[in-house]
Amino acid sequence: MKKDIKSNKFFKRMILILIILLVLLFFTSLILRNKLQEAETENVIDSNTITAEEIEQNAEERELEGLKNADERTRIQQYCGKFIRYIESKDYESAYNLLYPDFKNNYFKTLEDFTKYVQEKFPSDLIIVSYDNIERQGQYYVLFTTITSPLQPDYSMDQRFFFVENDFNDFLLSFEVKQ
Amino acid sequence: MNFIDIRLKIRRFIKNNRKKVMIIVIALAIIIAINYILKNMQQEEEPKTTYEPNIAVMDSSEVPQKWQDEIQNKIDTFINYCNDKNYQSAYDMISDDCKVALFPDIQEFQEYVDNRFQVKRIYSIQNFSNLSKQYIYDVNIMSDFMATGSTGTNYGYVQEKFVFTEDDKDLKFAIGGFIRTNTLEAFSEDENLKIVIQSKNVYYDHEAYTVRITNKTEHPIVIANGTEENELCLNVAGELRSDEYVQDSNVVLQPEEETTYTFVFNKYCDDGNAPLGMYFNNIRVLQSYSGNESTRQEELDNAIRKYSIIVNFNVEN
Repeated sequence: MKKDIKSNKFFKRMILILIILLVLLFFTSLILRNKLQEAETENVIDSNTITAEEIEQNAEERELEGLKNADERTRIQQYCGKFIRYIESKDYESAYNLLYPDFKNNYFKTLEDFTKYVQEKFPSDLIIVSYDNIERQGQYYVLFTTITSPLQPDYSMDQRFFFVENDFNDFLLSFEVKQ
Repeated sequence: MNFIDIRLKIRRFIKNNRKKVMIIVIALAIIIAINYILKNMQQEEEPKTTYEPNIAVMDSSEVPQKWQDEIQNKIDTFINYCNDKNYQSAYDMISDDCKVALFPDIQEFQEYVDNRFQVKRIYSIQNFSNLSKQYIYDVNIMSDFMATGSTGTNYGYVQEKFVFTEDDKDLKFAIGGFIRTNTLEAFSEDENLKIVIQSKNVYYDHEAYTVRITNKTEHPIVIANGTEENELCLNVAGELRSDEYVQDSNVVLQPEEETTYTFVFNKYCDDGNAPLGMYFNNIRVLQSYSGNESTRQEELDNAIRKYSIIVNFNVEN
């Protein structure tokens, strides 16, 4: 009789624990599902209203996925390519935002200074970058490149870039300023 | 056996093994819950690099985990002090042996800092070699190219070896490739000379021996003057290595003169070979020695005695 009572108590406790666990599991899944739904809803709203942004976001996601699968040399070259693409497309502000703060402060205090320099030194339309060499100095990367343009056969510029990568697609750079 | 029998059997089994069944069910529920939560947790991915600052280039050995942060912090603090021209704080970080060997007073250290850190420098580190409890790092000291883009300068760096030595529960820190000072007190004496090799300073790529030599005679003695090969050598595992600077500075003792010399030999501290002894291969006791080039050969040819002395070391040194 005593054993039965004990056994019943144990059984009740176990049932209680199981119920608590199931409730916890239920709420966790509910929270996670809500989060996913929120994200999906945001995407749906975006796609219905701003298609261009969605396209850009998709491109960024693809770029990020590509970077995650790339080795460090490829990543740094892609970062350099991104900077050059901004210059090529005359999006000087985006290019300017990639500059290392102290470098900006030393050579290009304003966006106008930077724009003027880039327009003067880089090809105005098609830019080709040859990646000659890369060196790593601890957390820093030194990329040796040659800049050319198919539209300006006489143009060729050796250009050193310096990069620091904080995270995927999160980087800052500086470069040798030509006098 | 029909369905009711099976059901009854299962029911009876559960009733008889109620505790066990409950424990198994709860364990399964916990496993499923943990698995579900872990699966839904997003893992932070970080950019992968091949940079492994605490793994030795020479043999892929790794600096013990417990020292890695401390070493990196020490290097960072030292470089920051040097950039800030905080000479005393930087000087205080260096081990006493290293101070005696390289910077006997703070003025000399100040010159080193002013020379290396003319402008703000940045650095990178790489563990180069590890010897039992000594960890040797290559430290590249560079202009702050992130801030300058190396504009107007050539991209480059000065490489220096920083050495960390476990000392009880602490790390001794040395710069300039200095490893340690060893007391030797190896000596040899005859009727002409007394040679005492007092100590040596071990650097990453060379060893500097402090040698006291006494001329006990009434005659000048030439130990080395660059006229012949291997006048003064270090025996490293059977290979004789000549002193680096004998060519430039003669080792000549006037009658009853006692002089302390520093002899420098090329030797990498991580080559696995212990120096066995120092060879004085061409000792010449002369009638007279003027040092003039015109009479030098004649004076050497008229030597009273020509012979050699070997001073052997305790192999542990």
